[in-house]
Amino acid sequence: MSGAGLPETESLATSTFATFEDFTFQYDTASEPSLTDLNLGLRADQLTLISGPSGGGKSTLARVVAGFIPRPLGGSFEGTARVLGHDVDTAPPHALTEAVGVVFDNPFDQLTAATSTAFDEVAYALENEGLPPAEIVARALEALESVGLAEMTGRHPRRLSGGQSQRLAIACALAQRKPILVLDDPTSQLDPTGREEVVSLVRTLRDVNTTVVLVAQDLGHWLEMADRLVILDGGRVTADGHPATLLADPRLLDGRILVPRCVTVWADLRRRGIALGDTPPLTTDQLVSSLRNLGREREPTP
Amino acid sequence: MASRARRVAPLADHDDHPDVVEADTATWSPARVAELYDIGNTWLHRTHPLTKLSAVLPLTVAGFVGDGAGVPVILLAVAIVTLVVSRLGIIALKSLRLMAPMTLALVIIHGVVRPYDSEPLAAWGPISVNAEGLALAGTTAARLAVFVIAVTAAMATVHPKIFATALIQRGVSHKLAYAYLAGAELIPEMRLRATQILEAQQSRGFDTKGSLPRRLRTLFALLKPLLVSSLIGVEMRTLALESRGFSLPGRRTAAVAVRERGRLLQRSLLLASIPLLVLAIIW
Repeated sequence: MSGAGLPETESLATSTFATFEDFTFQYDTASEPSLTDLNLGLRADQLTLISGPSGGGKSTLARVVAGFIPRPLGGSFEGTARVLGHDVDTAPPHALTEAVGVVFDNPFDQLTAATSTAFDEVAYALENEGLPPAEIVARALEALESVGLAEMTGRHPRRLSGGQSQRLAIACALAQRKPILVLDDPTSQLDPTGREEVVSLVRTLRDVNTTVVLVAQDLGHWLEMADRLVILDGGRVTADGHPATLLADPRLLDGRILVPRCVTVWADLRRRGIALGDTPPLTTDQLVSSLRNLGREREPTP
Repeated sequence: MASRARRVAPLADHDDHPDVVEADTATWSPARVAELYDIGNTWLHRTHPLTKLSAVLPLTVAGFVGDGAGVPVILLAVAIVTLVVSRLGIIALKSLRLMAPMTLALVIIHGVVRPYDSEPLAAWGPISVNAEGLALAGTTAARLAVFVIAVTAAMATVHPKIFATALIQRGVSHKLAYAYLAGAELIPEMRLRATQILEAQQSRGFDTKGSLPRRLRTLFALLKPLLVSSLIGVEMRTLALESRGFSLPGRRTAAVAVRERGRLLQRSLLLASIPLLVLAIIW
């Protein structure tokens, strides 16, 4: 792995569904590569959180996994990237888009704009796959119910809130039974209510071992459910590992990535000589629990 | 799984899509999506979408039979009366509203601007009104109106999705069907986007109710973000469509199929256009 002495990239496991070897990619319109000498393996049945500063290459990585790079988006690349056994350069058309579901940051622009109900929106992809009508209906309704939109089947997609709209996009991927879900900053344009709706849904997906690649600039809501955190900066992997282990390194808390308050409080206390364990708490509840334990330890024994 | 979901908006609850065969207990919203579409359950709504579309051609060609406005005016009158009797007067009204600016333009071009050899009905300096020109404008407007009312009646009585499904079932490219559906959604979508931008600008103190120059300034301030956001949206939508199998090869199906019927009538209507065309040419 590259990076300034930060934790090493984890070795590729047998359940790796995507591998990048010395992969460098540059958009046709860009003056610099978006990804540089990337060596990375993404494992199935995990929630991999990709984060880093703006322009770090997070979304580009997500688009490679989703099968949008090098085609249809275009650009030049070196090295190799394989997703689900397909070399992205020579993969048959649709091989990846059929297997990877994508949810973008903008809740509304990713709708088809050709449907008049949430049901139609989910059914659209299934119709394109040529499934029998009864199966389309069953799958679409099941997917809508699983994302909590059972009561919204007849609502026009434009009349859904941002959070509902993101859940609808996730429902589309679930209905298609895609084994991998790529979420590209799915809460960045949502209000707190919508954000909580999506976070809760992703937590549910994580609980049933769905393979999720989640891109997020703000780690706030995602750390506790992530199996792995990959930091991309300047198109390179600068850190890779379990979130709690990585964030114990003070060099990652330099403000270039947005970490939750519980992590910064843990780091502040540590600087002041108050140790709350070797790794930071990933949620406020964990922080409170650590503080309580510390209080108990420091209570004078009678 | 979906026992609760299926009760939400089953198609059977809405009798406004009579051409639809239920695949299961499919859902369909009564939401008015396209600007044109009017929900209802009249005989015209129940007619197969492609039968209505097939009727547009012979009706339009029939409007050109004869020299003057006689035939198109009769056709127009019959169409309006039929629509009104069928409680679809709103469609006639919509068609006439669509025709109003076109008729005005035709009257100005043929009746006022275009020079004629004959004596003008009235003249004000260089501007003159000519009877020949007015007759030509009237005939052209009546012919156009027949076409407009036929298309409006066909399109306003079928849900865009059902129309698109009917086309795909007959072998029309799903990409073309998407273009039609997206077109039907375009105006409401752009309106929503514009409203959002306008509200954002108003909340930042933009005056949208002031003098004309001030309003024009607001309009320009609205256009740029509207255009930019639309362009950005296009790329994301393209990728989202790819992810939903838009360019997958193979046959398309539909959650709710359109009952196949009226093929003979559709062919007959299209064939009827041929003698009408001959009649229009020779008469």
